[in-house]
Amino acid sequence: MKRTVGDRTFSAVNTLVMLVLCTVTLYPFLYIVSMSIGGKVTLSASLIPKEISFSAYQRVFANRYIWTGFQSSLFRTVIGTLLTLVVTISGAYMLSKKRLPNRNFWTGFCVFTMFFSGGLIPSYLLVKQLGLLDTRWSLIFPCLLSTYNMIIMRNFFISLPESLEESAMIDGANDIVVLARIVVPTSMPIIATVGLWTAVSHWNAWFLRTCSRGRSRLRRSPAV
Amino acid sequence: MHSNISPPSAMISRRPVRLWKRYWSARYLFALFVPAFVFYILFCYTPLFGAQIAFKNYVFRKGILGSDWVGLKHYKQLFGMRSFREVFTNTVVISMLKLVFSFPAPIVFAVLLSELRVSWFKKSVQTISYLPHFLSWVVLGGMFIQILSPTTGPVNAMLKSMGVQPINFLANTRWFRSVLVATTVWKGFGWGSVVYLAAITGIDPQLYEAAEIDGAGRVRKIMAITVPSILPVMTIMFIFAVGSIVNDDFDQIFNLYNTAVYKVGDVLGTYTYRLGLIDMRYDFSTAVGLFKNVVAFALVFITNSIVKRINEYGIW
Repeated sequence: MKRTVGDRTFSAVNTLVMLVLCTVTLYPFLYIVSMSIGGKVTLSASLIPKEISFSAYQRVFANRYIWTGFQSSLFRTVIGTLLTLVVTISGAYMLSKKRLPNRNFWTGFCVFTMFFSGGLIPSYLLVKQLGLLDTRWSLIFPCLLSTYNMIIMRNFFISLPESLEESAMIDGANDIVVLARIVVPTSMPIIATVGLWTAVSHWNAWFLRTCSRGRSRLRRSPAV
Repeated sequence: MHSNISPPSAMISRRPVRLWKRYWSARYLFALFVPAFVFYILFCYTPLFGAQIAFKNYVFRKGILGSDWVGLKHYKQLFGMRSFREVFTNTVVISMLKLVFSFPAPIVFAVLLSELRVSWFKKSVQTISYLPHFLSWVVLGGMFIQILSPTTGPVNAMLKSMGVQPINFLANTRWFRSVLVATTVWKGFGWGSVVYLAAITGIDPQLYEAAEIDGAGRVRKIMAITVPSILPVMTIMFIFAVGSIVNDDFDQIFNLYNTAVYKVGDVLGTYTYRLGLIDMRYDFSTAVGLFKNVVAFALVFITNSIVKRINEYGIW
């Protein structure tokens, strides 16, 4: 393919823009890392610390609460993601089936909650009344399911060939068996995607934590 | 042609399958739905029912049902407050600014990224751009406070070397909103581009080849092929973005703001939080939340109907 002058200029400018973007994205991270291993903090934009000391990390890891914080984040991310996936997959599977009676109603039942929610306070009161306040489950249950992810999963299930399931049905398998033995193994790409999204949101969710726990007792803090 | 023409009499005589029978035959499907159903009833519809305290004088002792109705008292109070106008203006202004900058950013980025030819470079840029998305605002908040610090931050160090007086970005009412917008764009442009990149990958390469034969340059190809092809995705993302105008980014603002910038940075989310959970005014705070919800839904509805007149890619 022949490349014109305009074409080359475009590529050059584009590459330059991308390099600038990468620098802007990475700089804050590099700066924080450099600062965390540097000793004194001075007014400078340089990324190379004047001295190397790990005292900040020593202080952080000596803090008992850091470990509780990490534990609780880890618990929430692992257990929360697993539970979310189970609920999302099974819910999405039902919504994906055309033979479901009143299918539009049930889809609407789920989608409605994307637009209307009771808000922060009623949810908080509910968690309180359920006796979940100050437990690890208060962080997992209220955000167990994301309708958006479930709809995405449902669309993937709809796109699967029906013949795959029909053969199993003829052999006498019910929906639960079909889902577990056939649909889940063939849907690994979408399950991995949704699983990753969920894990990130669980790991990063911080606000609910401040509401359902007391003061910063179990906060995750950056290592700075 | 109709393939299954049946005589009318046969159609009438065939009794419709009873509803309960259809439900019975789908019983395993419903068994699968039970966890999701319990979740929706418990954590989505029950709080919605609990939102009635927006119209009640909520007393903890009496509970949600037992508290007395007060009609629109909270709303009258809300709209009458001077701080409400300030907070509402802040919310709308900040969200509009964010919409103007952070809606197009991932689109431009996705288009430029897809124009890169060297695949390892393309992949690295993509991966780097995703990074900020995976950190929460608590972490990023601490990070930006360091970086924008007037005494030790690198940004002010650079300004100083150029002979500019240090600026306390996070405590300066003139700069605070710009910081919010910039950090939002910074955090979201990479991850937001995923949707558009997926759409761009789906474009038929023959279109580009045909355009090349007709003598179109890179920019021309982008404007005539890429942009129109991702228009449906853009439309839907735009509708959702407009709907979130009143749904401020609570985590971000909560972690960056301070009393010095309440005047320009206090939004509905942070305001409700302070009134509701710290000052314990549950009913009033819920009223604000409900108001937000209704506005958001109205915005989505209006945008959707406007968009549908312009192109055919609405949500419903």
